[in-house]
Amino acid sequence: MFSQAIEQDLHHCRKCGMCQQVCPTYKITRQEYFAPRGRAQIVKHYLEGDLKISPRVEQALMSCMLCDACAAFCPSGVRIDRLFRNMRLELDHIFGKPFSKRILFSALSKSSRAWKASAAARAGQSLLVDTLGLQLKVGNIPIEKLPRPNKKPFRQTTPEKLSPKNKKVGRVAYFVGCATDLIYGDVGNAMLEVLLRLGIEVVVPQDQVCCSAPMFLSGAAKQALPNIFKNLDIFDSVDVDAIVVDCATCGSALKKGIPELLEDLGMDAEKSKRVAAKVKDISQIVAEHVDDLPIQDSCSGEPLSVTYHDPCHLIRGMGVSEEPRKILRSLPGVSLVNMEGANECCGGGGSYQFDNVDLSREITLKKKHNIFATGAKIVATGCPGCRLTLAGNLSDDDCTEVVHTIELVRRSLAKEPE
Amino acid sequence: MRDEIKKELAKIVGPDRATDAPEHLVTYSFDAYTEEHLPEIVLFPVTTEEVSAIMKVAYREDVPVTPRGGGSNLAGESIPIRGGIVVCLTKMDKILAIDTGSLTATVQPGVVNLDLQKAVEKLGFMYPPDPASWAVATMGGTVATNAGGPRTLKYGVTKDYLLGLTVVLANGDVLKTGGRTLKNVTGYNLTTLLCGSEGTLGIITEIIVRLVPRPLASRTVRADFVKLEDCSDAVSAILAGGIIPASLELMDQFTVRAVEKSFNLGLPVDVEGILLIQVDGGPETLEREVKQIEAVLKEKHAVNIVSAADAAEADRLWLARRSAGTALMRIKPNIVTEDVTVPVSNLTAMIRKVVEICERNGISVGVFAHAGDGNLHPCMVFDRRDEEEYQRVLKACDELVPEALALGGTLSGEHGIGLAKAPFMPLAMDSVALRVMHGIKDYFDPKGILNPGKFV
Repeated sequence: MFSQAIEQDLHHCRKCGMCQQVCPTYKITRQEYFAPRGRAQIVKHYLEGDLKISPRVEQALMSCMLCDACAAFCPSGVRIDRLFRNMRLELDHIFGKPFSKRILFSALSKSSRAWKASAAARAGQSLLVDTLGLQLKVGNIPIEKLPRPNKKPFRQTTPEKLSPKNKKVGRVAYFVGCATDLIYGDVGNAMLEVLLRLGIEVVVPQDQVCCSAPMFLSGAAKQALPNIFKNLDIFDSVDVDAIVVDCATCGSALKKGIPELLEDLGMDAEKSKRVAAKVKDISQIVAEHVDDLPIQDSCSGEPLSVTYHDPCHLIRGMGVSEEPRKILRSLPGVSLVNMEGANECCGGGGSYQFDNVDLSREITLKKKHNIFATGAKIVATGCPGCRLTLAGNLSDDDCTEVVHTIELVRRSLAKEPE
Repeated sequence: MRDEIKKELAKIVGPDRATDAPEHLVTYSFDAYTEEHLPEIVLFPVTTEEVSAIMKVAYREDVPVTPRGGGSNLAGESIPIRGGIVVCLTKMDKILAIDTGSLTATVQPGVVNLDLQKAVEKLGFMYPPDPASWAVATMGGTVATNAGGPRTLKYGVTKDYLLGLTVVLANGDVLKTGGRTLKNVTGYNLTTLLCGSEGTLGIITEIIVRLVPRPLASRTVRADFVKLEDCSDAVSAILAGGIIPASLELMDQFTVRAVEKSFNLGLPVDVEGILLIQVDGGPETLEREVKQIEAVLKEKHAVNIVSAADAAEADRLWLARRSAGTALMRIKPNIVTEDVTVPVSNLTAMIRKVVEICERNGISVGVFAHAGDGNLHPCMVFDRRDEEEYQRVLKACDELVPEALALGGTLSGEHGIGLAKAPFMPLAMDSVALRVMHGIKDYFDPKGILNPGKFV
């Protein structure tokens, strides 16, 4: 299944070991087996036929967070992330997925199922915590710290087209990720409000589905492809200047992951490249027009200290890191404080924190330490996965709120003239 | 290795820190050199006592032991060529003490060089040995290979900062050498003997190093030369003028072109050599030294001289040098970074020889050098899967070494001997020196179980 280009790339790993310094799992374990170089070596032996796929081979590959730090850093330019993703397709081929993952994928592959699961989670959560007072954990996150799902899927609360009140300056399509649709509806509302106030018309295609990154990044290409093709058909045919996302993972999937996946599978990737060319993170659009935003200039008292966490899929997946910072610096009453290791993985990694509980916890602890060291009251970020992880692990007494950058922008908007 | 020995070894460190699973073993079969060989078991001790207990078993059973740190070494020092045990020391990663009052730091071998640098820098100090791999190289590994780096010219190499060691010998005995004093002439200098012994005499489990105050400021100058001869003449002239820069680096045309191709930094691709010079110290002296260096560079026909006005500009200049290895690596999948070193006055002659030998063997080569100390890194790029090409690379290395020795040089400046240079030892050392080395090895390791197959 491996494409020749990927195999060729593997031989460019000269085993220098420099990837150790950026790999979150190596830094915790200090074992080559958990380092990009060691994992690449396992893939090499597999391709050469000396290693068969085994639970340990699977562990080596599935314990990688796919944070892309190694690929971004590799002196030889080896696309380690792509190599591992290909190997995961191979794993899925042979192993299939554990029951919990199959349920997750089944839910994500169909919106109605996803909503039912989310509603069940909502009911279950309030039953367990509010009624029975149980202290349970999902992965590393105490169940009471999991966000309560939306009362209604966000997409169902939104018309297909929203036009700005004042002069129209552009038109975008909004790709609504599962997280916004099911959990963080407020982020979606903030997106819409900010875009409309900028004079941008927003189209929200109603039949769009999950971007499928959680599936194909886990090696489940078969479940992912129907969703991918459906979204590509929808977003390739809509006439807009840009396709906007508020989720780093969806964004990097549409921009990079899907075209590469299709290429690696030997499929036609033309349509996905056309779509990819239009994909923009919301922070890119806002940063571009930040001077046109009607921002409230009523700063009183102490400025609010905000620190920014770079989601892996935003900084390395989409190449976006300066834009959210630019936005935050331009908000009156906000003072941006940099944290050490802002671009290092938070330990969440989507479902990683549920599959690799111990490793994930250690990585998150480091992040938590860096956040506390800034003394910031708010952590802004651009990925619902990071948000879930960070909010779930920051304790109650430190009063640190985790938000999407766009929500802070919305809070700063001047009141709309009646 | 018999199963019951493996079980006994695993019991010493516990099942979580021992493995003989094939999926784990393949990740400890290599370092940054080209060869690979599987160990039979990998152990991750966390105390000197555990290392000692491991060695007692290995000694009793005649099992080969290869100690290992971060595995970024370039000469094959950590490849378990005879199988047996890999003792991986990366989990012994505590900085045990930093004593600024007596200018020392005590660390475990798994501490990463850069982590120590950062820790002492916060206190206003510096640990000078700075190998290019410092962000991953462990202290144990840098001591075992006597690592150097760009700062060697002014500050020296690892042995110059090493005060004391705790070392587990082949039979499991624990040897303590040196101590925390800057002066120490008590008996033979076992500390220096073990530094650079590449795991053939013992396993380092604790290290005491000397710190120096951090320089107050630094300045960087770049100079481009049409002719390589002028470039290296300038190096000698700067040193002869009584200035010892912290770093004095050279890149040849092939390297500069490779960097330009990959990174577009605006380097001149038509010159034969570029020098990067960094001086450090007090601000007043630096001003004078930079002027003096610029005068020398002009006199030696530099066609272009750039002096960085601030740290950001200096960083931009250094980016070219830092990108050299990377740029060369991107040409072909594999690379051998040679490490021959010659007296500074023979630098140009050696670079010319390198290029001639590689051309004759049909090998692409870029040369960059720690010019101030005569340490050349010819980087030969090739594809390991092309056996014929690989043999030509090895042949070029074979031809390079005698040339370096003939020019008054040495086999290795900082990467060590390991597997890569072992065959050349009889060329570099006479029979008396070799006899003494073998005598030392026999005393420390009578059964020959410590990192066997390496240089001695």
